[in-house]
Amino acid sequence: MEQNQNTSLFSLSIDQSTSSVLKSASQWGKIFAVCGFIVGILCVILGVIMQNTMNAATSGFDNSEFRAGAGIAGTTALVMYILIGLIYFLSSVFVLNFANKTSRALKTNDQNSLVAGIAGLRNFLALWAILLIIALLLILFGILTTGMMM
Amino acid sequence: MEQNQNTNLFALNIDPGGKSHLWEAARWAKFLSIAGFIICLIIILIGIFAGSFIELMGKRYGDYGNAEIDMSGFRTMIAIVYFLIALLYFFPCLFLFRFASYMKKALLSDNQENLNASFMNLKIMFRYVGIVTIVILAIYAIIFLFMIAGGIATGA
Repeated sequence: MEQNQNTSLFSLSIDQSTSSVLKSASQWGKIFAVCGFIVGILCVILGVIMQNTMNAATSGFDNSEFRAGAGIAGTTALVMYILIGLIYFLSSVFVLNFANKTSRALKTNDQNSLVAGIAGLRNFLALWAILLIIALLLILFGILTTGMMM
Repeated sequence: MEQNQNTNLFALNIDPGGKSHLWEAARWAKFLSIAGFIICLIIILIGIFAGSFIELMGKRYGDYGNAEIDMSGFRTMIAIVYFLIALLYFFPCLFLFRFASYMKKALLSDNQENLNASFMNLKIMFRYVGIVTIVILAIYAIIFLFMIAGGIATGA
């Protein structure tokens, strides 16, 4: 009875070992987030370089239609890379949220920060899962479209 | 005993709000990890068939040239590269799967050990992906530096 009462009162708690693991997870989460920010920024830079390269490579051509086509391809590449960069940026914001709030919760024993940190982790996982679903649907759509054209 | 009770009373705990978020996180993590395992399998299959496809192309178009192109080494190399990519991708999926499984068990049975094991796997996942990203960025940086050095050397 005593055992049951204790279990229901304090069901899952952040004890010494949980706190240590969570602290370590939040530290690695911060590193993970910083890596994500760097990858996101690199994606945007790569997009700009690709667009400029496309324009520079075709600027000497006489055919204006060809130049316009290359320009559109370059802009599409830029938009795609910015989109990928934004996804990395957003996912890193969520992980950083998890890391900072969990770390603050452990330092100050703040229950609200802990819940907010866990929510950040959930948002991070949900973002990638939803993106994966969209990617799989697009692949399926591509396969079906190709199948219908053949 | 008194000390322990006080510690429990005022320490952080997983309240219903936190439980709900953790349950959702575990659900998404399980989906991501299972999808990741399937993607790993697809990557390995692509590695095997891409090698065969290239070998087939080599045999077909090799007849038009002066010499027969031997693609068997290239085929093996492609299969190995794809296998390595799949292996690299497999481990974070495994840690994520373990995080989700332990978390669900912990939340269903209020088991503290499972909760610790779950967060431990989350930590390992972050550490693994962080280190792999740093290594890949470092490789890119080295390649970039070599390209600049090559450009300067060629220009000079």
